[in-house]
Amino acid sequence: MSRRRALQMAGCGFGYVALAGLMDQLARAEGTNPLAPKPSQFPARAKRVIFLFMHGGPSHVDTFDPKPLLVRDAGKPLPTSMGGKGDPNLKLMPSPFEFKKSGNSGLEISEIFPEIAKCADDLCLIRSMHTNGQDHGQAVLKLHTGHESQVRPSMGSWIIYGLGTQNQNLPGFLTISPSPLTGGAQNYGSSFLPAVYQGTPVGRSGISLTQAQIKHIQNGLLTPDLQRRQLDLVQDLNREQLKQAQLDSQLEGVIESYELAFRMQSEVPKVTDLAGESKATLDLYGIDQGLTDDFGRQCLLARRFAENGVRFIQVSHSFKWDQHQNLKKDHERNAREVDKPIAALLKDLKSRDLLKDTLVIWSGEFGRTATGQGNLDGRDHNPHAFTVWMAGGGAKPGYVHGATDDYGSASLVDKVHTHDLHATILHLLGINHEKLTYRHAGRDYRLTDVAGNVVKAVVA
Amino acid sequence: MPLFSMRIVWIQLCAVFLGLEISNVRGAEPSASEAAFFESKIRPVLAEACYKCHSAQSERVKGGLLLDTREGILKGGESGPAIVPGDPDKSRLIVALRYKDEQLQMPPKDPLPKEVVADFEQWVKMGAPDPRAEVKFARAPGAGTNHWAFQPVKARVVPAKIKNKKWVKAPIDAFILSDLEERRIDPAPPADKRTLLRRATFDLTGLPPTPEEISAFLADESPNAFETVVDRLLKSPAFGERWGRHWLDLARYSDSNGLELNTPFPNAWRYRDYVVASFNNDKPYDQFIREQLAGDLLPTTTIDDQHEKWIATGFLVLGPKAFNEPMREKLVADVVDEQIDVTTKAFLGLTVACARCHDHKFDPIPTRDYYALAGIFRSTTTLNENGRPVPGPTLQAWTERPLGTKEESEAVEKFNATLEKAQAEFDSAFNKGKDLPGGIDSKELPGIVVDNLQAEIIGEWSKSTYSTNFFVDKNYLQDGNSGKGQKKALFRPTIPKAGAYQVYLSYTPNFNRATNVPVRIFAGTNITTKFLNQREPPRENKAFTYLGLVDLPEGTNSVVEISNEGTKSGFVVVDAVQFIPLDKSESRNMMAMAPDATRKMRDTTYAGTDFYTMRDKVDEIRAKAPPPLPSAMAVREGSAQNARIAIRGDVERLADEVPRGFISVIDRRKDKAAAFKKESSGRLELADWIASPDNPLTARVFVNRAWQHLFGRAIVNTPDNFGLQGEAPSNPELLDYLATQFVDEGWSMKKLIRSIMLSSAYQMSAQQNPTAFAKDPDNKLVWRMDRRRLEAEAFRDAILAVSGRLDSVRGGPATFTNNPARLVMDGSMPIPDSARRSIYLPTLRNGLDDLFLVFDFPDPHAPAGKRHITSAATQALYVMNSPFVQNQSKAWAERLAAIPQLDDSARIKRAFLEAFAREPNESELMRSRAFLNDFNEAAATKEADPVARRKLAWQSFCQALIASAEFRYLN
Repeated sequence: MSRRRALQMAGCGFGYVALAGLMDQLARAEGTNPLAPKPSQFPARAKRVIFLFMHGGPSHVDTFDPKPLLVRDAGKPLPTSMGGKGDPNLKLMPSPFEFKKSGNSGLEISEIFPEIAKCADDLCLIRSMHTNGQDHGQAVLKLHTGHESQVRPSMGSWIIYGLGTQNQNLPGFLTISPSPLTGGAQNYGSSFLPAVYQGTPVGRSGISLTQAQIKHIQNGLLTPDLQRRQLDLVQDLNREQLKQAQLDSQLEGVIESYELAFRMQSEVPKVTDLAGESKATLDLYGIDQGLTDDFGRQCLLARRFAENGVRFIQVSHSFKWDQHQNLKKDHERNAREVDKPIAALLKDLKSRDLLKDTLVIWSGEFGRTATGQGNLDGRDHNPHAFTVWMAGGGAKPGYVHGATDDYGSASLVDKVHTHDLHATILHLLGINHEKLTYRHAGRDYRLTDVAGNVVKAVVA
Repeated sequence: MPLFSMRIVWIQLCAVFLGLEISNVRGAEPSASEAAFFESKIRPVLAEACYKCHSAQSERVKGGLLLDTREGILKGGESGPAIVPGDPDKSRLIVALRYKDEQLQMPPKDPLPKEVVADFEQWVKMGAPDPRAEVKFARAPGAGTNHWAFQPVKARVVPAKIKNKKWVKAPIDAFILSDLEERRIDPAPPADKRTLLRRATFDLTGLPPTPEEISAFLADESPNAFETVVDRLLKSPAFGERWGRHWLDLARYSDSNGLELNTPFPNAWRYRDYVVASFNNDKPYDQFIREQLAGDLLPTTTIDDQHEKWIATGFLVLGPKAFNEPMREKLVADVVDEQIDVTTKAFLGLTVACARCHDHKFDPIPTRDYYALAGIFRSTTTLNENGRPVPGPTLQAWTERPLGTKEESEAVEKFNATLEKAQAEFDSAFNKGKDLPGGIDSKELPGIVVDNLQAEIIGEWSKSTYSTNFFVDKNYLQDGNSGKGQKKALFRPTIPKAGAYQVYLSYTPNFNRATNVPVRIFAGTNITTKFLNQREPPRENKAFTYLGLVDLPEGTNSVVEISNEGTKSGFVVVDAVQFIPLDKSESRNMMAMAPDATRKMRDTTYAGTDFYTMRDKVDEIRAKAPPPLPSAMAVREGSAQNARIAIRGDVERLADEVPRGFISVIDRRKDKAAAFKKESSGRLELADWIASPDNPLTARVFVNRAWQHLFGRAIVNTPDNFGLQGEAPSNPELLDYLATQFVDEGWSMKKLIRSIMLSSAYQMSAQQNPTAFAKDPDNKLVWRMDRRRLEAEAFRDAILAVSGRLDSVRGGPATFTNNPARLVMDGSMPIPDSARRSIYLPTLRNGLDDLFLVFDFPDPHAPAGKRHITSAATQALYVMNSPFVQNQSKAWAERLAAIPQLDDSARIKRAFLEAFAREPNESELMRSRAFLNDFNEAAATKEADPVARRKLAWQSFCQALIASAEFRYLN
């Protein structure tokens, strides 16, 4: 029933008391809690998202997009037909890594990801990604907010604005170890959407996850019992106000927010505490195993959040993938840090039957050039080509979509732009990206701005 | 008319690109006879009988139905399409005209003559031919020009037909009551004095009333007691802090750039203080506009006056800028776009920036208008010469103006000019040496040189040749901005003979470098540590920085160690260290570049130039630098130019040049092209045009904002959008009355605010009224005062006010941490633990303090005339658990405890009075006492000391008051 209709009814002889009751009901139903779960627009394949962000720009031709012709033509300049500008210093550089066919699907994956390769049959590789932004800042913002230079709400904010969240005792949008660089908080900010939709950071990059927590989640001063007494006083004062105000959804909202917060502060530590996980699980994620420890904790935390009904979870491997030089060594090391934890996350989700409706996305902000740099052991930024992969949540498993040109210098076949990726993510969540809008400054805004096509081919 | 046809081509292009719907509803154009039928039989009737309520010119469009365009008729209103071409029986318009359906009869008073109705039936049968639909595009040029907001402000007669004359204290009340009486709604009774005082004090100062102010007001029984209060508050310097902050929302005020290069704006505060002072001095609003847009072009009286007017133009400079944008032209276009956006939104309530890539989709603002304005801002200088961040502590890339006396400024200008010239000579000579690897060959440097290739390397460093600056030999090393504290480079020279050596260090500067690189010199048992800012260029000669004169022992016991410990601020690079024995050094001791090395360069490339002389000259000039002047973010006039339309906003695809001009739909000047002088930007003309009583939007937009700040809900409830997508005014007569009065009273902001507050409307209580609520649930007609939540700043300031910690220092620089450059790499910065009013804390893009983040402070990247009001668990968590609220609660409790001779009840009463401007009722008092007792008991296990326990109980009580809804709401 609409509010208008309720009021019409109320105007036709409902008593005042009845009206108050009705309004009370409606206020609850209508969004005193803007994060209440909302139905998707059509049946959703994914109920939640885990976004694994590889900050810095992993080289697609060294990870998920093998280019044998780079070996054949090593040392030659990039042809002008592919955007080469005849610069003799820019020479095609073969990948220092071998690629292997993996799983039944035979997806070719770089040797630096041996564990992820074992999950090949769950992966949906999109090898034809392209984006805007030659520099990190622009491309990172494009990926996270849909716009490279203007301030817009982040993807996670749009998603919880559209769908609310399942567990009211936890934030709906969490970002684990976010980077303060390249846009920082903008990448999980709500911009012109109400603040309630902004992402909640858990720690930040550079802080060990063992010390990371959500701000203000613990009181530090009072025991829960004492705090409950204090809160009861607050709520009694609030109810006294409400009694005098007679009808006020804002006051109702305040009262509800305290109860929610009180539950949240007891719930969050339970979810973030890894103590209850078995040794086998910790080992699976590579926790307490040197290089994999920190990212392993992030991935395990992501699974725990997913399991507990958080709608959008981002995990960041921050600003490590920018190899203008020392690519072989540093890509190897970076891969070692994330390979085992990510594979563990996929396996763990699967064994808990969560992968089917959890969309896992792996992406950097852009790819890297086919030509070498830094004594032919590095590559420059390349927004014209990169690989993103998805797993679970309705993404087609064991599948490769699109292709780059012979050297991986640009996306060529079935090109997928960042806008298209966003449209597809929303689609898997049961949202028509053109209908998820917010009226601001005189017009309706969307995550996909005025672009975006759902890539139907990657939907299982 | 080639220009005209170009324009058509342009529009068609745009339509194709954008897929604008082309309104081709009817396949064919109306024939001549059809058109004649419409013009003679239909249009006159529509105009006479319907347009009053159903056209863009209607004061209030009824039922959302517009009959003055073909689109309007077909689209219909709230109940659906007005006509179904070809089917009169299904056409609601015809049904209404027939007057047979009791629910649907139009025109409202009497039916039209039967012949006329028959004409309409016939017209619909014909397929409703409508020559007004000749236009090919959904938004034909001219469509929407009738929109109410684009019409001149009308002088309004104060409604006289009022029953409850006693209620009318001010003309405003008559306008409101006239609407209420029409709807048979009674206005709420007046608010009690305490509520009213709290409301007015927060509204005018953003702070709660003190107990003394409360008693004074309660004691004043004169009829003008409230007037006295309002006048007192308007004179308070806190007024400017409150209303200035409202303006700063619109000015997207910030102390840092935001976006991806979040460099600080260390001089932004001068604009903030200017705004505060303007409100406190009741600067006429038209003057306020002129100064912000064109202060630099206005006549001035004194040097202080000049400075103030420069500072005002900071309005145009404060926007976020994408300094990393590789295309200079795009950067410039984006800056101009941002200026158009903030100017048109803040002053005119229009979203003109929508017209950058295509004609505005809803408003009659063609792309040409956008580029007419763009020309004005392109002719204005906002970015420094290359628009690239200058290495230095703040990466300044925008224009500033020095705020010195005339003599001081001239001295600086002269100095800069001389230095630039000498530097340019030196640079051009020096740059020729770049053909050498890294530009510098260690073998040709004097003394002992240890390059990174010979250095002892600890941790993972990467070799690099990336920098375009000079470096020694083949490469240098960088730390990858990672593994901080784990990487070192040890430069160990073999010293042939003990003695004094000059030590020089070379590195390649860049803005992403660390600012605090520790460099330690181990000379035998002596250790000296220096910190190096690698964002700054090396001081000596573009490669080397002098570390000092050090006594070194013979042999290999001396080390220069460069580490990346504590260098979170950015990348650390190491290149080479040079040791020159003092006795061997030239007369130019500071010169690290050896005669041998430079001789080669001189011999080969500098024939005939005197390298040293040029260098010496630079040094000599630099040594005589006048002291740096304070400066302000401010624009300058650039070279006057018109802008060219960028197709779809793409700066690489340019179409027509557009003469500079204003927004045509509201441009009432007779000669629209005449105003612009060839040699000036046109900013002054723009400012005059906006700040004119004839501009239909300027005064309306401002009075609407003032109303919003005093009532919560604005008359036009989309305060930044008065366009066609904006909400219609809830009381258009009142809006125009206020606008007229505002201009007539010399654009006085204080008089406007005062007159609103002295109305009965403002002084109503927030009391609920079911009948009124049923008729007008959103309180659009203002039958009561809405309950309003305090903004984040007022909430924080109120907490500090009750805790007694509020720091009363006004104005001045925002408190940054020691090193503002941190921001650039860290992206965020803790707000200093300051008790100053919120307006004086740094407002950082991408780095807002938690309290501001959770309590809906608007994103300062963009202008915001209206804030969100959300209730969320994060707010509750902040109030319950943040150290800020806990500490202030403690301070408040201590202050209450220190008041002598109060028992618990009296102390509780005092706390209620300070927090809510009222005393607790009986049940609240009992509840509070019970809380203190229970808490005290329950805390026994946690806190054994009874004194500390009691303190904790009171602290928790005070925090509960701060946490209560009443604390952060105005009734």
